[in-house]
Amino acid sequence: MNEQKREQLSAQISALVDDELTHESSPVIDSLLQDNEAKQTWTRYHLIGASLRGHLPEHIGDISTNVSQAIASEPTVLAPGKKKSSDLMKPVMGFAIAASVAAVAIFNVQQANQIPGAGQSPETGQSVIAQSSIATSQPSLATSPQLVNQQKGQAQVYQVKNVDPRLNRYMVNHNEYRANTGVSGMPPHVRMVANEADSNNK
Amino acid sequence: MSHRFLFLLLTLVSASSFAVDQITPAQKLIRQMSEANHKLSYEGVFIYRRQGQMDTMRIIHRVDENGIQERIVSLTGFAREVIRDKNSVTCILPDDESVMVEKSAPGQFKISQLPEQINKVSEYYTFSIAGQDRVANRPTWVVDILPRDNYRYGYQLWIDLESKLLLKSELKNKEGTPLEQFFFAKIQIVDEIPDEWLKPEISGMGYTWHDNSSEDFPIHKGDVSWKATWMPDGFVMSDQEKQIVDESQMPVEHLMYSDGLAMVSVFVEKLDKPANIVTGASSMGGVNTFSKMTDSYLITAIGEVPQDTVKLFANSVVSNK
Repeated sequence: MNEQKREQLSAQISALVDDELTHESSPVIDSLLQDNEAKQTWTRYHLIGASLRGHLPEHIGDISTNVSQAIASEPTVLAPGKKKSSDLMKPVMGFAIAASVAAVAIFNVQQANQIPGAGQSPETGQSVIAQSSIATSQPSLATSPQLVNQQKGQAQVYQVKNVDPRLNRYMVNHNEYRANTGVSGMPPHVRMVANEADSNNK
Repeated sequence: MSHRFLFLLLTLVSASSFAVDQITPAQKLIRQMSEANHKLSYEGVFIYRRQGQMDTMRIIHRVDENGIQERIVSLTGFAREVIRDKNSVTCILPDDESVMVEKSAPGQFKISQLPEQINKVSEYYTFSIAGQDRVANRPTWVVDILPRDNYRYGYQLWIDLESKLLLKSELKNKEGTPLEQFFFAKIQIVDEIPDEWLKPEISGMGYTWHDNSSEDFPIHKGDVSWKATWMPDGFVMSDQEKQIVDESQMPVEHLMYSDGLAMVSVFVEKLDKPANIVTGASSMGGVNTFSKMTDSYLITAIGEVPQDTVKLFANSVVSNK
């Protein structure tokens, strides 16, 4: 790709990040998918955008600690607990759920550290970890932490469950080989596409 | 060619084909099911149900000279998407604002089927045709696969009478309780699938890319430095790979064990900051995982097998260096 084209693409990525391009602008997206440098540009612009909008945490180094404390210290329940009508299967211990939250936090730290001066003045610490009030015999293990995001003036409830990048990566690789081994019972990657979360947009 | 020689030849041919026919009708159906998936292009909508949750997904499955290309999009909740072809698997996770690109498994073109030692599989599972049913307005066979011990799960498969495609399945524990279900609401087998159907619909929101598709780490036979020392009877190491991933920059070992039907993956990864890792058990639908730390290595076993099995697998992993 020549220099001029690259510049043009960078500008388009910038526009895409700022939501100025509609998602029908598929050439840009296609380029993104094919070009490693474009992907990096995309990520970089997003980090810059996030820092400009004050979406990066103030004390970056503390976030994982905060998350752990928030989980440990039974905060106010901001979100309705997810009903577990386990007619198919009882939930297994929720170790990985807490792990996921930690993983998200850690990942954010890594990202933020790449930007000089990032995370300087966000006033909004919108992310709150709440615990759902599911009664279980192992409350410390099986409760589901929920990330309550109130950035847009409306509470969006995401259950952060399936976002541990490492476990996700393992799953994808497992599924890939699974497709060629034995009887998998369904198309590979269905479990990845499945929404573990109840996305109650209220 | 003398008649005698021809007779001998025919006898040999029929003898060998008789050996192949030793498999039960149920096993033959499963083989045909695998073949159908490598021959037919189709498009449809299916339901995936587990742990009291349900998702509706659209699948586009194209088979052409480039092998299998497949796209699965969630039609409910977050519009998660997975697109795979012979080179890579791309997972678009809007809820996580991330895109994950992984390598495709080599040998995607191989027709997966019951292994050669088909009688061996019968030592660990029973196969039978339970009858007929109807799924997505199509008549199907129902095939039961039951485990003979507690280390494995069973399957019930609904296989299209005509196309032999899998239209419905249930993964069940030893007691016969369904752990997860997959079934088509609608499916059409088509001759051609337009390219557009396989393109992602990512939105303009911010995503982080984890691209592990380009890195490759050559592995030599016998180069495995970790292995599981316990596994249920019938499991053997079926494959192995080493990858370098962008998060850790360390090679991750991926060991695969199979009994012919089920598969367990063992991942071993060296971690720089093991303090942040939470280990233990978790599940994703019918898949169970178990992680543990040994020195600074994270060992994770994943598979469509009971929790005890992945735990025993993970706990048995040792370095053979």
